[in-house]
Amino acid sequence: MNVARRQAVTLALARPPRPAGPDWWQALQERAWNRYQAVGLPGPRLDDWKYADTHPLTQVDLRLPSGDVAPMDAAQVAMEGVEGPLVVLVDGVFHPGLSRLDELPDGMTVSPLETALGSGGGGVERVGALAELDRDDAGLRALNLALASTGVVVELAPDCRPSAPLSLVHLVTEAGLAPQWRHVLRLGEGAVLTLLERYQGLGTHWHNTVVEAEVEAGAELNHIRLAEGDESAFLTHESWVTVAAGGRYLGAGAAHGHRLARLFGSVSLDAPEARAAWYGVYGGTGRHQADHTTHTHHRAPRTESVQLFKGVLGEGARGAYTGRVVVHTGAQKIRAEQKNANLLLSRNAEADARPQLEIYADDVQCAHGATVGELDADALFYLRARGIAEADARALLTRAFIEDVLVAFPLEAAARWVRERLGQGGGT
Amino acid sequence: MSKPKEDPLDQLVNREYSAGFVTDIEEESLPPGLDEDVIRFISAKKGEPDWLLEWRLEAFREWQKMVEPHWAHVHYPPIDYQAISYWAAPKRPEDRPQSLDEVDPELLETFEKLGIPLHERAALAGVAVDAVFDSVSVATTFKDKLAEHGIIFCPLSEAVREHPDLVRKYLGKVVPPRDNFFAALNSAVFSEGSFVYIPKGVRCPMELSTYFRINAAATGQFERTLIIADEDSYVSYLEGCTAPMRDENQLHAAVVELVAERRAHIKYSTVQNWYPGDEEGRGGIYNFVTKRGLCKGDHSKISWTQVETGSVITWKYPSCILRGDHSVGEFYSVAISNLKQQADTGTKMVHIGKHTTSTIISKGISAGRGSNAYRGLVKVMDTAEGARNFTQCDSLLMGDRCSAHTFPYIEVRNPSAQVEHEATTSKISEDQLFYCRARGLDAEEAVSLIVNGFCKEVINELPMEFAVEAQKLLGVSLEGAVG
Repeated sequence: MNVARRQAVTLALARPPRPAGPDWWQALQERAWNRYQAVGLPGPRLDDWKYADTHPLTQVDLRLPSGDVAPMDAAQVAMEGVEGPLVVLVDGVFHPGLSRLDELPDGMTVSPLETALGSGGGGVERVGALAELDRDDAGLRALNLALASTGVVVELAPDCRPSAPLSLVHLVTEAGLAPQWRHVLRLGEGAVLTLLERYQGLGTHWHNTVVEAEVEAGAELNHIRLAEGDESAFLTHESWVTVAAGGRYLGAGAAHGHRLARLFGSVSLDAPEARAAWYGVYGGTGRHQADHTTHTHHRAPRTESVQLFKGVLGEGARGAYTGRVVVHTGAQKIRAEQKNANLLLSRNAEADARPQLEIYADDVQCAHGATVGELDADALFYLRARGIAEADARALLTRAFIEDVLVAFPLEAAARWVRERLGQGGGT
Repeated sequence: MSKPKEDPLDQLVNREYSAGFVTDIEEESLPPGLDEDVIRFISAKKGEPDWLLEWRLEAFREWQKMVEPHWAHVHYPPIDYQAISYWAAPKRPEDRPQSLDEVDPELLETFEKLGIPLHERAALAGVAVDAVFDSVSVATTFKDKLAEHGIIFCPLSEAVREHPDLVRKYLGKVVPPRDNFFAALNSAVFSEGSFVYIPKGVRCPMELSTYFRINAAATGQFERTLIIADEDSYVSYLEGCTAPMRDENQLHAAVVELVAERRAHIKYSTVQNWYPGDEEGRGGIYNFVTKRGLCKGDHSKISWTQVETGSVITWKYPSCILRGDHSVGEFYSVAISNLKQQADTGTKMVHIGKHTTSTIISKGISAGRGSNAYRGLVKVMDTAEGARNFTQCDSLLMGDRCSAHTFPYIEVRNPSAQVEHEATTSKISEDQLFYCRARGLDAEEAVSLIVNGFCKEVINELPMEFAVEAQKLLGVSLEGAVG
């Protein structure tokens, strides 16, 4: 056995000298830290990480945030067309001045992680309940828990249905920072929430986020993640979701420009009629790598899942989709669909697709499809013959290609955000 | 949905495999264990030249540094490689059954069901060659006919003696000894195998399978096959057969290498029906095979067709390296896992040359407590301008204790490539079963009919005489009993 290669690779991020929070929290962080030391960063030896290279992350200088609140103004965090409660998280800390939490609807609570830890209750004790640490690929979520910067604890009472989305804006204003965001949500029976997460940053930085969400019977969570970065930016994001009877989870995500952006989601459909939907768009140009990985567990009869992911890959970009659907023993009458399509716009682009099915029941209808190709030459010719310039024709076709994913995005402002960045027909 | 007890499917998949039988223990075997001396012994026994011994030893040293792979979706107790005997002399004629009367009657019944020609049954049942009427003369006739065309078809050990240059030029070039754990083990200890060379411009006048089936010696557990099709040649080769194969070795680690030169076409078909173990999976064969073909020249073509119904564990990925421009790779597969069988099988298509095309059609059928996984890689390198792939992998589930998995890997680096993958998983339709039964078919016939329809695209690719048998084999395998 090649021992050297299997040794855990860890980053030079140290635990803060003075731990804070209640005893159970410190014990949990201690356990997570030990786990991180044992397994290290996930790497190519793990099948799920075959197409997401964490090596560049070890080649840059990163440090944990110091806890100072950077000066910001409201214009920097606004997103056109998005109203409603807002949580602004800057350089690893909660920014009370810019956050808008004073007019929450009845039945909805949103607390910063440290506040929730101080006061206890409110669901904070469920941190770590879903994002399990036992598997070999637990390195990032273990690190995230051990060094958690901040995050929010969100609870919705039964049938609480706020009309506007809850926005979480994550920013890094100083190069070299590696904030570790930890969010935990619970939606009571029949509650409906749209959660919009946005990520931005300056210079070399790394957002590492873990979201744990419980969706109770009949509740619906629409979960959107939009991230923008450049060739020195890293983003790793994990969502761990359980859905009870008749509940619904919709995960929509898009990342643009990062050196590495990996959006991982695991959803467990635990009771009959639970549903899950995953939508994603990825792509870009330059040394950009995007990886969408989903695990969908059908653990109960009559559960359904759909997935639609599209990649638009220009010069030098690399996009990967790995979707694993597991139909567990006894989960009959299942429907599961996966579709992944990729447009390669340049010679130096790469698309990797792995739509996977693992089925331990027999009364199922599961299908998956994956395609990779370039823009249709006939369609391009058609448009050009009608006087449309080549660049415009390419943009039009590219936009049309991603549009059927975007119509499924639960927030028009989010769809527009993606369209503006990825619907341009970039590449050469 | 809970199933009524009299469900025909349950009855079918719950039957016992009744063709399991025991063969006598061989004499003149090496004691279990593997070290360099064992390899020297094997090499000396076969009278091999020094270069081949060195090649084996090098492979063995590499193997010692390697770790047994466990990424496949199969589970089995650890294999003790020192508990295996790596040399057994071929059976002496007097140890074999002297006539069909001495052969297990169940086996003969299976032959009957599969429709195996009368004159082949004795050979397949392992009856001593002298006792098989006509076979020697038939084989000799075939051999003369092949020689007329300059075709070399002989055991690998004979090829090492008679055609050392050809063997040395190609051996281990497609599957290097250090390719993977099992290939390295095979390279170190391979016992026997076949060697085929088709000269330039020759179209092999017969399915090599025909000859093979009658004349095949027991190929042993570390078989190694090397097939070379020179420019503009064609060959169709069939390995294995539909009859249940008797074998006392549990671990099989074979290597098959194919080389297709310019405009050459190799068609390689496999029908595998080794002992699948009992209801608990005990005693079945572990089939860990490395098969790879190199489409070396432009416009060359390699086509793999496999019908895998036996073995308790199947780990095999017949692959094509499409290096020549306009070369073509094909993979057609039916894999059945019943009882407690586990199959992790698929293919790799690596597109390197321009305008290379590949087609993958995989049909997996799971019944009983079987587990069936398709694992396939389609890789398009940036040099593969205009590459084209189509993949379809369908799974059929019979019963609620089996499982079916699909693990495709698609990696594309050339924008002019077109890659398509589609897969479905569903259970055998109650409506179809009902329809067939309402028209007077019994449950067995109905299942067989539906399964054959499901697999038709693959069966069609088999050489004709085997296609007929393979169709029957599908039905027989799913009964869980060959009787």
